[in-house]
Amino acid sequence: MFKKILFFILILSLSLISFLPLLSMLISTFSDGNLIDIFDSTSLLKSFQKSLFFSLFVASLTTVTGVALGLVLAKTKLPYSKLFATLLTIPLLIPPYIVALGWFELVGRSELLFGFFGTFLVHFCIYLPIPLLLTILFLKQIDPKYENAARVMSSWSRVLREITLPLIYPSIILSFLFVFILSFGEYSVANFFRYKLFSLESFVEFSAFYDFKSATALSLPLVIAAVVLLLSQQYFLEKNRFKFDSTYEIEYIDLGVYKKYLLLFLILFTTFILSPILTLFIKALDADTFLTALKSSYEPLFRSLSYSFLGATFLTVFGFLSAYMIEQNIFKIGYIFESSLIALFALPSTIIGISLILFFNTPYTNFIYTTPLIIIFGYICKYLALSTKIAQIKLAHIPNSMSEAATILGASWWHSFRYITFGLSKKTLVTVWLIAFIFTLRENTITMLVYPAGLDTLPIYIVTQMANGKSETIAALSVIMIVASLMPLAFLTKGKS
Amino acid sequence: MKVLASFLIVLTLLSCSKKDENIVTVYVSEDQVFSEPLLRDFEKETGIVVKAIYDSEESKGTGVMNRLIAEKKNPQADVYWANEPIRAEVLKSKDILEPYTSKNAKDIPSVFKEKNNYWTGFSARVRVFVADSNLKQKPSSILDYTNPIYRGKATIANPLFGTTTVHIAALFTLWGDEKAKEFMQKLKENHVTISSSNGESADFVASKNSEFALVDSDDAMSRLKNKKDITIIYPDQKDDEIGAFVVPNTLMLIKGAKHAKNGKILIDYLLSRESEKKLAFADCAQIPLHDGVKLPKGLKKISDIKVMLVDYEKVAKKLLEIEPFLKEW
Repeated sequence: MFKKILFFILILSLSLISFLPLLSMLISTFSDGNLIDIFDSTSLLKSFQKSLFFSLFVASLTTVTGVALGLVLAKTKLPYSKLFATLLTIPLLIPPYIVALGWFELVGRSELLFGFFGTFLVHFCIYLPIPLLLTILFLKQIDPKYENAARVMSSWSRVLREITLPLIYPSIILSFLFVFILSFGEYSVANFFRYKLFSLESFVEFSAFYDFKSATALSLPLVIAAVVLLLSQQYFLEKNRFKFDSTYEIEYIDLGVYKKYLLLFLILFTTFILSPILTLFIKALDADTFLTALKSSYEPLFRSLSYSFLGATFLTVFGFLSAYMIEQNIFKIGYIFESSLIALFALPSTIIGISLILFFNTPYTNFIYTTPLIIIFGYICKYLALSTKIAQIKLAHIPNSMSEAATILGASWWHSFRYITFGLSKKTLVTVWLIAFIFTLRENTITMLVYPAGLDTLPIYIVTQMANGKSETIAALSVIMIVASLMPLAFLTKGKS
Repeated sequence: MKVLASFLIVLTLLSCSKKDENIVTVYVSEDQVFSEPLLRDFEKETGIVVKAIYDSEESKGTGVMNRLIAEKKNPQADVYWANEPIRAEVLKSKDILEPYTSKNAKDIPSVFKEKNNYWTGFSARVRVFVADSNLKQKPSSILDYTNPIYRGKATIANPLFGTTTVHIAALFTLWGDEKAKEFMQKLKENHVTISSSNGESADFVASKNSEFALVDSDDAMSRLKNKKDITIIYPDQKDDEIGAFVVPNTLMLIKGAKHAKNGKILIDYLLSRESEKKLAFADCAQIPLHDGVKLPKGLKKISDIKVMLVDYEKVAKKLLEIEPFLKEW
């Protein structure tokens, strides 16, 4: 009974926070039959196809590179491998437009940068850490006895191909899915480099024409594409799910003579990925400029850290409960619930922001709308899928037999949930919290639309300063943002060691 | 338990909003670097706390607009400070504004005020050319965008956003649809580069990547102050030419504002000669619409500029009409 009440409250809370605002926006959008005409456009169809191929290309190349790097950094005794992993994660922590700005400061106005290549380059840099980190995480789940047994008969290349990679398929598929969705919905970089993508069409409808309904309608193909991918992932993973008991010591590969070449490659590659950020650091080197920037931004910085702390906590709690509900198929709505979360994740942030305004901006809900709670609600709408999926991966590895044994011995559901399910998931939940913190810290689109007057966050402050602010000041503010984002990363890597 | 306690403390701190009735909430589309100092001065001088929401370069002045439209049924803003009058007209058409006649508006020329006082203009920018100072033949008219001698050498900001959209709409009202569309088509044929913003256009010219660009006067003045090698040209100043397009900042009171009294005090303050002087001497170098306001060197008086005579209400209506065309273009 308690179990059902708890999850009923969860569904009710999430419905009020995220599903109902979006649903009411969708109903309002499609009650206008003329919206079908929006899609009757050749240029729109071409833009959609272009975006689809672009994001598939980004997701493919990023996943292949990320998995390869993950294998190199986790399965070899390369010196400074943790440092490389940490450094390569930095672009993920920063709002994408800052990375784009960094490339622009480094390269200048170049035909190469403005268009496909610049947009792809930024997407590649910022999303590479996703497959990299997920690969490292999943490699720790592999019992070395499988690889050791195979090594008796085969070389490492065959073992990697036929044992290791198949065992980490969930991470590869999940990486691909996340990168695709994030890349497909991202418009700020395409806007910066003037590369016309479908996500930009939705933004233009919203920004230039104040047409919420058309913007919502245009965002639906994004959602449909994401949900189709999710269903494909579900189908694929159902056939290939492996369960393990706990983390293991990784079996290392001896690199032999290739060690120094690989090290050199990693140094050059990491320098390349971080070069735009280094450019911003160099620009911000003046102490006066930096101190002035810090003085003007300490309040938005404090607010950012506070809101992200709160948001990450909510996301971890809701994410864990949601993951449990999906895995156990409570109320038999696992698939629908999961698809809804992915749909929310795929929706452009502008649509989420406006739906929250339309739903919560009433005299009766001022206690939400005029306080930072509305920003937290925005975080939950956008990132709950992320925290849920990561928690789900862990929950899938906890055998049901443990809870069943506890039940047979007389433990209540709550005791079993608290001491077994939650107990075994603690480390993963810390990771979930840190990842949620990173993503909420860099969030700016929803926040820009809903933040109460006078309560801006650091990413918002940087963006508003970019309009005619001095480039050295923008660089200094970007550096402050980067340093603030590195704090949870330090915990994350310390936890891994 | 410690984590839960910390979480609850943070939640409480964040959820509590200080009840302070002596506030005014203003949404601002003018760049924060220019508007914020003025709002801070207002706070110091009046003791009224200003809660502001600023727009971003990314949303091109439309982020707070969309917020105002979405919040119509329960407005949070008291005042909107727009950086041009067309957004004001759009809000007026959506019944989001309350008319207010400020005592400081009486000396502002009527062309820069809405006839029923729904909005009032102040501290204007002028659409000017920034050009490479070494250019032998400098542009003098907007029609020079279609001059073959400048093929592939000129830049204009994305006409879907900001003051460029407004300028294009103004041309449509002056020239008529046919001539204006022909002009836009010739822009494309003459390989004019499209930048993402006026600021970027000015930077292209400053970095010699373009020979000239149409920008706002504040973008031009800020590059000049940063000692960039550019020159400013006021286009179409001859007797038989259309004049330069003027874009005033505008102030308006929001209908149903929770702090309407403080909103009016803020509007009066911003419309004063002193405020216009501050904006003239700031990096944005905006031109006062009041007579007799002291100006920095290099800034022209509004009375010394041949101004494009347009009805901003008609420009706003035309802008909505030409949206699909601009999007396709």
